[in-house]
Amino acid sequence: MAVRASAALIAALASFHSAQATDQYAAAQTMIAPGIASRSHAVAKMIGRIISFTQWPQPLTSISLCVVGSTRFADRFGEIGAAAAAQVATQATAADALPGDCNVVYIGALAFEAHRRLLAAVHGKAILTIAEDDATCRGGAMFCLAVGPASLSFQISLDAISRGRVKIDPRVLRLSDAHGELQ
Amino acid sequence: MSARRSLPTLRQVLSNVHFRVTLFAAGITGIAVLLNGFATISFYANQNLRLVANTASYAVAPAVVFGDRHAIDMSIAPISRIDGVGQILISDAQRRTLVARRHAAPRADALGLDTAMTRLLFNTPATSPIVYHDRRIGMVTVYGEASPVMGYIASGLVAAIACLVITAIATHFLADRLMQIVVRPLAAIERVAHAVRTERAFDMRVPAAAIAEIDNLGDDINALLGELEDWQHGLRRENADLSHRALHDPLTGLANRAHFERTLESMIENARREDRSFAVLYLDGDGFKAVNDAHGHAAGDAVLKEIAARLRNCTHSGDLVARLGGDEFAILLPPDSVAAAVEEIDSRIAAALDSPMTLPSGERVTVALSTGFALFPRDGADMRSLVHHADRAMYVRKRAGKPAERSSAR
Repeated sequence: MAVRASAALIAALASFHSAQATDQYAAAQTMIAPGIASRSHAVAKMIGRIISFTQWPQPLTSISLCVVGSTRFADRFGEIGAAAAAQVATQATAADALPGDCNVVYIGALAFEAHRRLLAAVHGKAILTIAEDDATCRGGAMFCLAVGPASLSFQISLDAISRGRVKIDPRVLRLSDAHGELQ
Repeated sequence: MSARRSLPTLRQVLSNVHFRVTLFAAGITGIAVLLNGFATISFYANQNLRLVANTASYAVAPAVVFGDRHAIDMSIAPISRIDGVGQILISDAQRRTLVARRHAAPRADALGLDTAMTRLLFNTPATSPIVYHDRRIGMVTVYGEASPVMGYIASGLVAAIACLVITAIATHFLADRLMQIVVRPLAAIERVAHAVRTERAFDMRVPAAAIAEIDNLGDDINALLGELEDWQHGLRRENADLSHRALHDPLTGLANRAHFERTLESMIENARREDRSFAVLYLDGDGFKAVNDAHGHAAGDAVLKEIAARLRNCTHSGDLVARLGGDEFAILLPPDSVAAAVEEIDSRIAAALDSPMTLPSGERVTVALSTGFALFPRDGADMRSLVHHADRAMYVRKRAGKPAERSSAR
């Protein structure tokens, strides 16, 4: 009985972990009221929650969030700290002059070349990347928000996450559509 | 034994006791195992439920944080398929139900047994809080389901019944063995006792037994039987001795008057029935009184013994030689004796007494016998007339004088 239950539990956990690769879940979706303000509010909350499920190699007392490119829903980023239950400092930076202390990079609309350089700069560092608008999530960011008129969801790029040095809680991964192939 | 059929036999008593002991032992063991098994199952089933609740609360935490009902449902879907889980309920901090998911395939429960067992095993559902940043953001409630346990209990029951049957069979064989060891020697004792009582078979003995008490009992009975046998032999010897003494003359060992008369009676009866004849011979000592007077009673006794011995030598084994008293003797000759045969034996007796007898003192004396006979049925049809006839014939010859008779006999 106990053995059977344990086996079932292990199987459940195994399927839970493998679900990220096999199951196709709809993107995590949050219904929001129409209007820019409420959307910005929802985006800040979602970013905070994503941060709360992220682990950096060294424990951080304060999280530095760098905003790159032109953004549409970044005007209420002051609320991120409450959602993440952590101290979050937000700073807007240029794409080709990324400060060394960035822990999270929020990527707005960028020119192709600047985007490429940004990814190169981020590569190999313990930085969580979130793209504001990338419907297919193939742009190289770990998380890609999809902001609809009345809903907010995100997708993840397993490829980017597997190459990055921050750890994302695997439970979050299954909340999203898995994109990209694991190498 | 046969008169009291209503009493149970030892075999029945043993069988009854065995059956009850087995039933009691198997029953008490079965109940103990069942209760213990149920307690263990209940413990592990509830443990399992708590484990499921903890797992579910961990798995659904991000989905609840992001407020995504679909993701919550997907998170708990594999967990809800675990055996023993009836329903998983995810509620938010305000205790509003977000998602409720039942076990994938509810089983048919026609008798309501599953429901009853579920109530018995899981009186309270397992709960686990969903924690996010040290804050309760919801609750997982897991209700148990007993149907997988039912299968376990059913297989346990089948195994228990099988064990009971095996135990019963084994007990039957063991009881049989015990019965053989105990009942068989007792039956042997009973058989011997019965034979001794009904047939006076004192020579029978109880065989050795494999049980000390029964063996001792058998030994004691055998010893008792031995004593009884000795006693019976002694009694028989004594009886034979007494009857011999009652029918024989102690001095000469010849038949006494009583024996003679009884034999004569039966011979008359037989001869009459079979229409045959026989002879009675009377003998009386001549000059015996003189020996007695001259040499003493011891000498007289010796003479009487010698006469008896010589008479026995002259007769056949079928003839009855009797000493009627003093120096008076009689011989009964077997059936179909004729006068000639009587004459022949008469002369043989006379010849036998011709030689002198040696007295204890060393002196030698000669004693003669006067004889007379009677033939049945010629000389008499009953004892009195036969005896009378023989007696008279003897006296006639005695008075006539022996020497003349003797010489004529020669």
